Amino acid sequence: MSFLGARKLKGMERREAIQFYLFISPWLIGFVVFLLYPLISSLYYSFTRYEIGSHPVWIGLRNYVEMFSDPRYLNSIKVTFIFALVTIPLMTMVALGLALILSQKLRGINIFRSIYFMPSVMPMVAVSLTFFYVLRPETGPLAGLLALLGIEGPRWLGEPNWALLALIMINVWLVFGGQMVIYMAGIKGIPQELYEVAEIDGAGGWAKFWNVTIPMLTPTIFLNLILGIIGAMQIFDIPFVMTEGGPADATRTYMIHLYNRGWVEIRMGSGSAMGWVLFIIIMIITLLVIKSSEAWVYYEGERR
Amino acid sequence: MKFPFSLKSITGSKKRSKAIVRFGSYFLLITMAIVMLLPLLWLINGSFQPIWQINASPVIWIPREWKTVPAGDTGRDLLLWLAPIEGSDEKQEVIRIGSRRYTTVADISHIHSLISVPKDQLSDPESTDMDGVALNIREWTTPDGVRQVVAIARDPENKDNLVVIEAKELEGKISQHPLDQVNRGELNKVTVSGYELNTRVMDDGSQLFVIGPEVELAVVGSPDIVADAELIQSSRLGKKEYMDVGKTQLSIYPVEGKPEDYRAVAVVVENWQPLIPQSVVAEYGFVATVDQLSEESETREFNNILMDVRTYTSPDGGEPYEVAVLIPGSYEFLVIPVEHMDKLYAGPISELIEPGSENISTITYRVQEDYEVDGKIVPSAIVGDIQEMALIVPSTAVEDAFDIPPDQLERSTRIKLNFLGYKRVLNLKLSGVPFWRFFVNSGYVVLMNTIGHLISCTLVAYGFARLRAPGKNILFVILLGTMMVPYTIITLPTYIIFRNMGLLGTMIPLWVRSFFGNAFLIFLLRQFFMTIPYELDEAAILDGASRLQVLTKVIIPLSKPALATLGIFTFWWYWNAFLDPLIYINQEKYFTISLALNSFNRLYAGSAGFYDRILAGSVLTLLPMVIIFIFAQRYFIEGIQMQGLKQ
Repeated sequence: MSFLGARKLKGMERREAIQFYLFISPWLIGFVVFLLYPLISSLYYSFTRYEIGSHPVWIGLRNYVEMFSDPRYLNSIKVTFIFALVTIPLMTMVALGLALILSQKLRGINIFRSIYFMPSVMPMVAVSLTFFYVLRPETGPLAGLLALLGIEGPRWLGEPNWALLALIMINVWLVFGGQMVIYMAGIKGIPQELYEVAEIDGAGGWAKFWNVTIPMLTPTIFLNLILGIIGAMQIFDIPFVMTEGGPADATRTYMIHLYNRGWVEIRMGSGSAMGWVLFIIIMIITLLVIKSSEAWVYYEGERR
Repeated sequence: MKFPFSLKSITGSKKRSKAIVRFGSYFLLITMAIVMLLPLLWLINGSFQPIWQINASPVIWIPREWKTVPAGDTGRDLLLWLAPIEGSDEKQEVIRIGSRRYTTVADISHIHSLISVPKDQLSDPESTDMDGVALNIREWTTPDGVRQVVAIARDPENKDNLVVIEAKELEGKISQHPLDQVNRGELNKVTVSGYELNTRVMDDGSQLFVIGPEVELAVVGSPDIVADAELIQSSRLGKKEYMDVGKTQLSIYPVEGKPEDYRAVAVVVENWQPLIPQSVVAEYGFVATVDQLSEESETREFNNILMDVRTYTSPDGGEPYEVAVLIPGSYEFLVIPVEHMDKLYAGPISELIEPGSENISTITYRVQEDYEVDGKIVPSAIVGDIQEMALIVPSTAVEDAFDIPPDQLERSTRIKLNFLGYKRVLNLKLSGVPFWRFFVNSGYVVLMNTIGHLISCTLVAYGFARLRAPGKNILFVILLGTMMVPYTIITLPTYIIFRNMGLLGTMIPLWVRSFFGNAFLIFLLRQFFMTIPYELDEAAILDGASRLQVLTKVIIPLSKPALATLGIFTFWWYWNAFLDPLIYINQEKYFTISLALNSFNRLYAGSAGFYDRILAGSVLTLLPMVIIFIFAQRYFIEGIQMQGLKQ
């Protein structure tokens, strides 16, 4: 290849590179303007007192100090953690269990899959209002059903402990379908030979389940776990529509607290600090899960 | 794939264990399907129920219509009830024509052995049924145990004590008497165990002691009674008299303007609100200043409703004419020529809930947008003054009536789907913005986002799928990483960006970001583009096509399934979006459907009379997603499963 030819090729490469950057420029601009800049600017705002209509004033760590001495804020962290800690195992069990059942060769599987998956595409607000109606004490259908069984139901959204539990159940009801569908794809992806090999080795049903199905599904479980954590820590719509964080702040999640700080009290600096703390919390949990994954997630082709 | 469970070891038979696994699986599947579907079915079922049924306790499951009987030609319908016929299992249809208070009494001769007890040894009274008669029984805790007593009077000598009688002393000796009859008896005082008690002397000479409590019984009669009902101003009712009818007594009244011996039974007396169709006000109503109106006013009846009438002199000259004052003011009045007052009607104020408002010039008046007249929605302006009106029938029409405890009455209903919730919600306005507008707004947001995603995501995905450049791999990893960013935490700084750009109060923040791509959709399209043979690109380029032309002419036509997924996911996300609209939209005219539903709920959650509208609105919001899901389920599922593949 001549020297000239090489230069020409290099020129074509450069042209292609320029074209590449032109093609991806919408995303690149969006990434900088609507993700990087907000992240960094909110870090700056978090060290300021910033009320709408005025300029941010540097106040150092005061937002953070004030935040962590606010019992309502600490309570919102507690509520969010309880929410996530109950939701995620429950959702994993329901989604994985149903995915396993649905992966059998049974008649009518598609109908059941549709029924379970449908709620996860429904508008959260309309679903929240549906449950608002379903859970009404005395006059709601659930109270009616319990009355038929001779049980007097609690006042669900009116009682602190029941309210949080009700929201957790509604959230699981609403979103587990997506996870279930991902598990189904994961199960489908397990090579049939692995079961055959296991059978030759004399493995029974349980042994195959524990030694083939579950290890092969760990990458999917891992992914769903991370998606679940990110989703649960940011829960907002359902408690906002159904309880507005009440009764007695029992369902005042992190995002509801942040929303109130930012848009009701209009304190942008303090709200930004809360956003950052949530970001760090989610990052830490995610990193812990990733770190732990070395111990329990099985990757094909992995050597030990 | 075969299901890995096996119960072989337990049953010993492979065939049987398979059957058990299958049975167990179906049992779980069906149970879960019920759990998933029931709330949605309940919602749909509830949306076809009238308000009284939605609010009924115990719950009534099947949508029903409460039967009514028209009260003459007053336009008012009275509810029908079922009352048991004495001595038979049959029930008869009745209407409530009044109520009568009863009180528990005992002949004074049965009252003895009274004891004075400190209040703090007594529990609070609890209404208890003793042989069909109500009695307020308290528990008296004594050293020897708990005794059931009824308080008779205060102890005049010791303020902290109550005079009580043991409940068992009264057994079989108490009865319920109409309060009005008892109160007509002459007062007397009798001393029992040293305490002076008030008694009433009845016509037969017996002396009754009032123990209480009072209970209200419904007076019911045949529905035929109201065939000739009239609606009049209750001020026309004269002095109350009593008439024996059947087994009860009714209050009857002489009526001003009727013959001397005419007596009326007032079936319903309630507050009514004068109303006039909003369209009539908008067309003929106008604002008159105080100097254009005569000082003296006359109260005139239109369709039995009293309105203030004045004479209006136009500043442009012309004959003065009479106008009715719809909304009075201190300087400006909303008036309408009297000839349009034949459109005036009235509704019980109990049927009016939290109306919207309209303006003519400086005058604001309230409008019930979803007011229902004879099954039709007529937006109605609220005018004039609330007036107490009575629905009367001639006493001669009432031939039979009896008393019955209200809890023995059952609603007389029949199965029927009720569409009023839907009619009402579609006619409802939120600060003057009609409900359908929120659907249009949501549709607009979805459309703009779809256009944005179509343009930006295809471009970016093509770049990542087909073009080589330094830094591409690291950028792709970053792109995948952004899918994991918890976006809600940057809502606040993003809000500040849009505020600084002056875009608050517009719908732009709800869609403009889609023109900058979406990581998940880019990834999805890129994966699809990679499956298209690169030879097709090369062939087109050899023919002189630019990269952009390759994308639009070659790649996009081959990518319909991926683009359908893109469209469906965009619809899903933005039809359902809530936090962003909540933050960015502050004017009702830009509300999306989810935002509007939430506002409706916030405004009216406390008023039980609004619930049919919220249920119907929720169904209408869910409907587009359900339809799309039924037809495009595959795309949802395949798209979501892509997330699981990306590592």
